[in-house]
Amino acid sequence: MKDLLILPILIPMLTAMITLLMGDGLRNAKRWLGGIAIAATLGVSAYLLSMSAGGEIVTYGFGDWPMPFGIVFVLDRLSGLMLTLTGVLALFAYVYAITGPDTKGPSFHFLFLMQITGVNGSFLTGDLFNLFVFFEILLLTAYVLVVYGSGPARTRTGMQYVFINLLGSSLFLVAIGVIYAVTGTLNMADLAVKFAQVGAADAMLVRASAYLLIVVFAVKAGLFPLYFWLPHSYAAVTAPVAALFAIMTKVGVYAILRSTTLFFGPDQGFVENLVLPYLLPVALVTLVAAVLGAVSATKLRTMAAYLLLASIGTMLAGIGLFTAAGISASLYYLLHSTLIMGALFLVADLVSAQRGPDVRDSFVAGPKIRQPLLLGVFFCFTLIGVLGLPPLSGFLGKAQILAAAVASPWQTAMWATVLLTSLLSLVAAGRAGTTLFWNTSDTLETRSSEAGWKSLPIAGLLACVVLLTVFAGPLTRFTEATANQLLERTPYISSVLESP
Amino acid sequence: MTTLLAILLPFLAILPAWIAQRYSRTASTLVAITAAAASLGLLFSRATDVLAGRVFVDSWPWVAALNLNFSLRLDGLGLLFSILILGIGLLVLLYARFYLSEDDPIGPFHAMLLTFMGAMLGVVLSENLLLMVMFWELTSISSFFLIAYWSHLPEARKGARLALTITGGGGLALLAGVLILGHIVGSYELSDVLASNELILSHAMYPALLILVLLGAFTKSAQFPFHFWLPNAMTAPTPVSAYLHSATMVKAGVFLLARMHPALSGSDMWFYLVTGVGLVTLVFAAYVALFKDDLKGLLAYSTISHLGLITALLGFSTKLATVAALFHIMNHAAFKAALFMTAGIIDHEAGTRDTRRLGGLRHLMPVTFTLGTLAAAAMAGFPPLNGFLSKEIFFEEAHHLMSDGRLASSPSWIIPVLATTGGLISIAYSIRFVSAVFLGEKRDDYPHHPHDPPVGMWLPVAILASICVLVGLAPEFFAAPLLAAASQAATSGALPEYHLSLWHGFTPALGMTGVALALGFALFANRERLLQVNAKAPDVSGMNLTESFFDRIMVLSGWFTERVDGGSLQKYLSYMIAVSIIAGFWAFLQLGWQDGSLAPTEAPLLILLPWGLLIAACVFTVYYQRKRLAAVVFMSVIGLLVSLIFVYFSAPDLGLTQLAVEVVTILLILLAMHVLPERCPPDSTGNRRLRDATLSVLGGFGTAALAWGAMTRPLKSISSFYIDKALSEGGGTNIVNVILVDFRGFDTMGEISVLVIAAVGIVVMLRGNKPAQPTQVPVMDEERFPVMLTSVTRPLMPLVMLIAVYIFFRGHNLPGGGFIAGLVAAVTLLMQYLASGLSWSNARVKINYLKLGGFGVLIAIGTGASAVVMGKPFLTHVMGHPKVPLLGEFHIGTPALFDLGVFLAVVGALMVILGRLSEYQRSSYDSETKGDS
Amino acid sequence: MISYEFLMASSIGVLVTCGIYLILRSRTFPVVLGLTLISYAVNLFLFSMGRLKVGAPPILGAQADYIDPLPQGLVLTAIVIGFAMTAFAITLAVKAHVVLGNDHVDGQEGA
Repeated sequence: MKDLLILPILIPMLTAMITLLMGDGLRNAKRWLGGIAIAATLGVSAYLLSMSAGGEIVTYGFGDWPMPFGIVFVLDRLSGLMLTLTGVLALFAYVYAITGPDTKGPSFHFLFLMQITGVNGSFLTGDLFNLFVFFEILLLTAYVLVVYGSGPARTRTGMQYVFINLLGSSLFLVAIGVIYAVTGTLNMADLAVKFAQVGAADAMLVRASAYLLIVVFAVKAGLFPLYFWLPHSYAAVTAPVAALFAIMTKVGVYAILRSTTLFFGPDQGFVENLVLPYLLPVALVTLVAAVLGAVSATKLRTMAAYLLLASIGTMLAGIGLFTAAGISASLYYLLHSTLIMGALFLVADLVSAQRGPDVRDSFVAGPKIRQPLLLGVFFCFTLIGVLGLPPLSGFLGKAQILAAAVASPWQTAMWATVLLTSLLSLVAAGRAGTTLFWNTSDTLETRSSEAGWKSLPIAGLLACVVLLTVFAGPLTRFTEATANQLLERTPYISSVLESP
Repeated sequence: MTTLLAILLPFLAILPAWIAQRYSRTASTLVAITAAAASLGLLFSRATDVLAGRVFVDSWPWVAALNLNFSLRLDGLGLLFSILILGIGLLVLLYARFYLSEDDPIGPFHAMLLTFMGAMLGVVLSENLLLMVMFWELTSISSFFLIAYWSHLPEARKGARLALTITGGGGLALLAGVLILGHIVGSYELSDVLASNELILSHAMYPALLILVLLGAFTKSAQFPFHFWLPNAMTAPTPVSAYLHSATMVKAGVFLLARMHPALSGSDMWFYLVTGVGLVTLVFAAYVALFKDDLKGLLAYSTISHLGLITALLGFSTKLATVAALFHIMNHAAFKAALFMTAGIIDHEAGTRDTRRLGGLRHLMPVTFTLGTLAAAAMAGFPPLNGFLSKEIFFEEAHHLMSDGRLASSPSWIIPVLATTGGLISIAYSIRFVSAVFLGEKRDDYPHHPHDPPVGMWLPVAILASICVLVGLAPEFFAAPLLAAASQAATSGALPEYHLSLWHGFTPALGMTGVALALGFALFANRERLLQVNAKAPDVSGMNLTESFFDRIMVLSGWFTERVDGGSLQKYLSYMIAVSIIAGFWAFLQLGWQDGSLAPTEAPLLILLPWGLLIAACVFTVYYQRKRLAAVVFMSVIGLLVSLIFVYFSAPDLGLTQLAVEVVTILLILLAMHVLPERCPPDSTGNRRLRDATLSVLGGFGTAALAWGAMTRPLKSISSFYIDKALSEGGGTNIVNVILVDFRGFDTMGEISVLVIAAVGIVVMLRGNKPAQPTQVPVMDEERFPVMLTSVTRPLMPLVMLIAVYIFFRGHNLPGGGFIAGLVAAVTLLMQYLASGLSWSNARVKINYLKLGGFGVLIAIGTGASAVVMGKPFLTHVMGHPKVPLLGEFHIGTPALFDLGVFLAVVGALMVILGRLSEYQRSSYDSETKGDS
Repeated sequence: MISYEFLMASSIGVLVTCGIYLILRSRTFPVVLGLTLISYAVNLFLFSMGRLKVGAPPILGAQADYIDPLPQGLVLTAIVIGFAMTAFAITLAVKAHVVLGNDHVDGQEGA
């Protein structure tokens, strides 16, 4: 039963390597294989979620070595949740991809699957260096996917993406190095213990390394001022990849959440509440900067990328409260925003396609859209979700985050920022939508094609958002349980270190 | 359940109504009407109980974490509004059927109208305030689409956006207010909220809460200074204006005030804010209405003005004033909807709604004339119509306030005066409406030939007009019961005795009416003269203000984004480096530097030589960065020194690996150099260089400090375990190798897949836009190569390969292993590439290296999985130790297999990477040479 | 006195300094050089976290005292991953030059 823990990695990895052995041809076979693999991964992830729901923390030690000497996978509610979310998003993004975008070059399925491997590994691993390895897997895959299908824009932003993140990886290694030099261990549970015991003599080293670690995660999550590489590349990559990338930033958020609760929580000696004073303000700054970016965007995909960053700011602000309510609210909002942002990138692709190569998705008057009704419904449905307007889960999430801030010292700042930025993005979205759909000449873009199967995954993602809304009750109960589990450090530590 | 169904019906009818359009416009209308009628019927089924004072609350749990339940409340207030929403909704649906032209798609229209209807019902029937906020925002959204129904008109789009911005923004404020309210009361359920008036008023957050809630109400009800979105929303089709922007949606604001009245009123703040805003709006909007030439514009401003009146009444927050407010809400809905429809009819028939082009229509459109005049009279507040009744109570209450303690500070006469002024102006513009359209000489320059519309269009007006009359004549019968029930809900405690009738005897209110009448007529008579004055007054359109405001914000954000972002990698990198430096040094600043307890180990002087060499090489690499070859040479020196450092400090494996990697890296860079331009221009300014130098030095210093700090501290690590167990359980004496293939084999698995991904990535990247075909490689063929190299490497090949195998097998016990072996093998094969050219090598080594790499990873996975099959965790080793002549004792076991996987992956990946790049470089080289020739 | 630790730390420092300066250049080639230097530095750094010992290789039986082997394992992984990354970066630089027609890191002159 425990062996299931490795499947979210093994299934995609194995399938990826098999597609590699299949050479360049056999596209359809690969499509099916990849689809089945992703569906299977989702199935396993869902099962793991149900396993974690009880509150038991399941561990899996590789090579049967005792802790903390071997590498370990740890499944708790948070991991289960993130795995399942990844599975859902990946499945729909993949379905969209195999309607055409995967023909733009070789080995698409390989890359897509390895990306999932990297993401899932990051969510499961309980070992700091192993986390680095999985970061590298998902990053390198991302590098390739960014430049996938080539084109000047992709190559240009690809360079920015690659160089920034290469530097990030080096930083990560430095942080890991110092942490090891001081604590002498890499196992995250063990680290949690050792951090608390660090003596005054080594305090400044361990704290420096901790800060660096957070910086690395902040780059992944896309916090101000470290996110600038993101909008350009996300706006340039092929739609399904952009949709899948909606989970990438969440890996950073996950890492921040995990480390702040496990390592840098209360009574952790010299790293106690390390990021508590900084996370929330920085998140708010990110939110403002991102929304300003969205307002100034001149095309839909750029706007989408900035709105993605804005959602990151919002959820990290909620996490920055460091209360069960705040974290739970942010987790619920994370589920929503990941799926809806994925949908937005796909919708943007359809819009851009049906407005034709001359105007694409830039905010200028253009030819009529071929399927204004279908795309219009998709578009406003998605934006209602992205902007956090009723009646979709985005509103429930934002409302929870705001409610969590009531009576906290940050209430005024947070409410003002969140509400005003919401208004700004509402205005921006209004302008965008009216221009894209209504400011049209009467000539139809003849070269454009019908959405066809492409509308299936979008509808799927939107359906998921509706489910998030309808079942908000049980879901929030789960996220609350998750938040409480995160704030309760000891069970995690003991279940890892005392695992047979 | 009944209430829920009543709300759901309109939503459920959306799709059918839309689809029914396929068959006929009438079919679609019928569907919509049926839904609305059914919903109304459902509510009527509970009407008698509600009128008897009963309150129906149905609740379903939804989001406990948010105290958000799907709970509904049907009381008098809700019923009153539901009847407005559904009743007028029915008439509007009928009217729209004839108003909209054949080519206006009626399906989407009904869809949005029904959405709005349902949302509006939700607002007035919600028990949970958060739920109400959700419906509230939904009305804004649906109104956005209804205003922009004729989306091809730029004004329509602008107006819609403006309305969305203002009302949507107000909705956000309301959300905040409600959240505070929920925090204070501990629940969002109205039953609890309405019961905790004292608690709320005494709470520290009350002022903030009140302002936020009022923001919501005022924006929605177009109160000054948020009024301007409403006139701009008049680009909507007239049925929409009649429905949303006079009868229902704009009433949501005053509804909220009435709803919250028992909970939030009772403070001076409430009194001053609500009354003040109401009265100002009343007078100001009425004055503007007086000069509007566009009929809909006139009606829009008069709506604003009347909403101001209602707001003021709720501000008074005496019980009777509240009654009057609700009464006027009903009345206004009736006559204003009628007037909008009239305006629509005129527009429809005469082809214009500009008063300057109308007049004398009473002969051509007698029916419209009669109905319109009746409605206008009601608006003016002439007896015996409904408008008169509510306005009388308004005057009366305004007069009562003179004796109210709350006005002790301010001049008490101000309120009655303002009230009367508002009244008289509304008389004036009402007269103007009638006279400008119907009276005067019949003209012959109407854009169309006006005549009375079909029954379907004037019937709704007739119904509304007759309501005005009937309520006016017999208020006790037609209005009182509902009004009483509604007022009960909007006030706490018993209602005072009051009597709705036309004649109250000689009261101050009567006097005020008299004054209003006289002055009203006078004002209308002298309107022309006022017009001159008004013409000079600047026309402040909130529309342009808002638009330009947001334009400015766009410019600003554009500037900001350009400033901090600017799409420059160097900027991003410098940010990141700066942040990292700050993060690192921040710790030092907080805790100060602490020296380690471990004494540094003395080094022989000789070591200074390689050290100096390393430093020098670094500096030269920077110095010669533009002289490609030199830079690379120095870099290779550094790499060499690094591997020596590893060897010197007891890391033979690292030394070997670093060396091999070094060779390959340099090779790659050399290949790249062929393609990249020979020298790059120095393009960074002095300041830039200084900034970069500062960052570099700080970064370097910081890293060095960390390294020094760490190295001068004793280390107590988990490694003792590896040292103990390497042989006994890992079966190898080379601890590092055992760590790689066993203790932390999982890392290694990930790492080789990284290599393979890199290989795939490079294949992906170099595919397409190649300067020339990869197959034809004229250059770099045998004859082009130094005989020496060729003749040396070819015989050496097998030998080196044997070495690789040896390194591989001894790896577990002595420095070596899959990595290094793989690297060595790859380098050898690469030698072949360089020495003999691709064609020669390919001819002899027929391997798809990409597949080889993938195969390697698969082997690694397979060995790991084999353990699982045996019921052990993934990557658990299984092995034995046979002795083999020559090679000595070594282990056969999954680690060896695993290492084989590593070996293959490394070889495959490296061969792909270098192979593809050299091909690419060569082909591009060809194209260049071809280009020259 | 000159100590191994000092020499190592200073070497790392200089490598990082030069590396950072190079990756802040506007042309891809120096940036690639810079990244390579930094990866050298990082490898040395990670390695030195196991402390410096001469003549104590982690090969059992050779001697009594062993250097901490774990950092070496990590560095080995880091070296290989670093190589993969560098290779990709170099190729990207080449590709960018061919696609964009220049070797500026932002793909356009004077950015």
